Amino acid sequence: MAEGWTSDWEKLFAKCVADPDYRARLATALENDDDTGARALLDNIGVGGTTDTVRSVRLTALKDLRVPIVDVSSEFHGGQPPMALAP
Amino acid sequence: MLDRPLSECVDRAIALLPYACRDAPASTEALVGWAARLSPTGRARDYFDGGRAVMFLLPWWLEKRIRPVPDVRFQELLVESTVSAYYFVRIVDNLMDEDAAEERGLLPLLGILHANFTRAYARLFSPDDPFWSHFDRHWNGTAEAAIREKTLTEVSLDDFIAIAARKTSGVKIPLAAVCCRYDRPDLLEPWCAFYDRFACWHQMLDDTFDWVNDLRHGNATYFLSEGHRQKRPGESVSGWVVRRGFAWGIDQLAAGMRDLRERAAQLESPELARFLEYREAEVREHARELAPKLNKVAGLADVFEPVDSE
Repeated sequence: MAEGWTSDWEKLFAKCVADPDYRARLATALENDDDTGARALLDNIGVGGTTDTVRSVRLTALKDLRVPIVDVSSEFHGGQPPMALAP
Repeated sequence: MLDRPLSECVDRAIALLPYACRDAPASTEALVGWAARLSPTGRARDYFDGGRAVMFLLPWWLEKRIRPVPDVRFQELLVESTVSAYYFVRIVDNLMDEDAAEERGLLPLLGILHANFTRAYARLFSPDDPFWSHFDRHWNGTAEAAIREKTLTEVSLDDFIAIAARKTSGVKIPLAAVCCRYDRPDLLEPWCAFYDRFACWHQMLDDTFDWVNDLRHGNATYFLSEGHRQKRPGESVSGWVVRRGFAWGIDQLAAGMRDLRERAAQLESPELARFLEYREAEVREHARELAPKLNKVAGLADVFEPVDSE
C-alpha cells in the first residue's frame, strides 16, 4: 500500500473524531433506521462502499456497533485512593 | 493515600492562588479561571487528586523515609512551589501539543508562575547551596525534553525514555530539596531513578488512553509510533490500536509496573508500595471497562478496512 493511503475505516474514524456534528447525525440516522440518511452521510465522505454487498455489510456493521465509534479512548489520570489505604 | 496534613497543604496552596499575582487583578482572574477550567469538576483543587498527586506524594514519602513525621511548613512550601511549576509546565505543554488559544492568552502569567515556583526554594536554600545545581539540572531537563520532543516525528523506545518521559523532570526538584535539607544525598539518586521509571510508566499510560486526542492533533507519541511500526500492510494506526495496539499498551504498562514495584521495594517506603498496588489495580480495571468497546469497534474496523490476519 502506498504511503499516505487512507483506508475507509481511517476516513470514517477521523471524521467522527473531528466532527461531533457529523458523528451525532450518523448516530441519529442509525438509531432511527434511516438507511438512506446513513448511507448519504457515509457517501459524503466516500466510505459508503462501491458494491451493493459492501454497502449493505457496512451499514449493518454500523447498526450493530451499539457503542459510539469514538468511545475507545479516555483521558485517564486515576482516582483518589480511599483514605482507608493510608497507613 | 494522601495523608491529611499533606492534603491540607494542597488545599492551602490552591486557596492561595488568588494571591499568586499580587497587585495584578486581571492576571489573578485569568489564572484562577483557567485553573478551575482545567479541572473536570471546575474546582482547581480536584485537579491535583488521583495520579497527579504523585508530585506531592513523593517528596512527602521521601521525608517520611528520613524522619517519622514530616515538617508540614516545609512541605507546604514545596507544594506551593510545585503547583506553580505544574501550571507553568501545563501552559507550555498545552501550547506545544494543541492549538491552545486560551493558553496563548496566558503567556504573560509564565513569569509570575516561575517567580512563585522559585521563591520557596530561595527561602529554603542560600544561593551557594548544592541544591541549586540539582535545581538547574532537573529544571533544564524539563525544557530540554519539551524542546527535543517537538523535533520528533517518530518516537523510538530510546527517545521515549530519554525525551518524552523526561518532560516532568521538574518533579525531582522537591525530591532534591528534601535530600539537601536533611543532608541525605545518598537517597537522591535512587528516588530520582525511581521517578524516571515512574514517569515512563505514566507517560505510557497517557499515550495508551489518550491516543485519539494525540492522533487528532498529530502528536508523535511512542504508542502511536509503535502503531506505525507494528501495523500490517493496509492497516491504519487507528485500526491497529483498536485491534491489537491497546492490548499491547496495557501489556507494556503491566510490565512497567512490575519493574516499578521491584524498584520501590528498595526505597523502603511502604506507602509508595501501596500506592503502586492501587494504581495497578485501577488501570487494570479501567482497561477492562474499555476492552469490550474496543472489540466492537475493531469489528467495525474490519468491515471498513479488511487486513490480512497473518
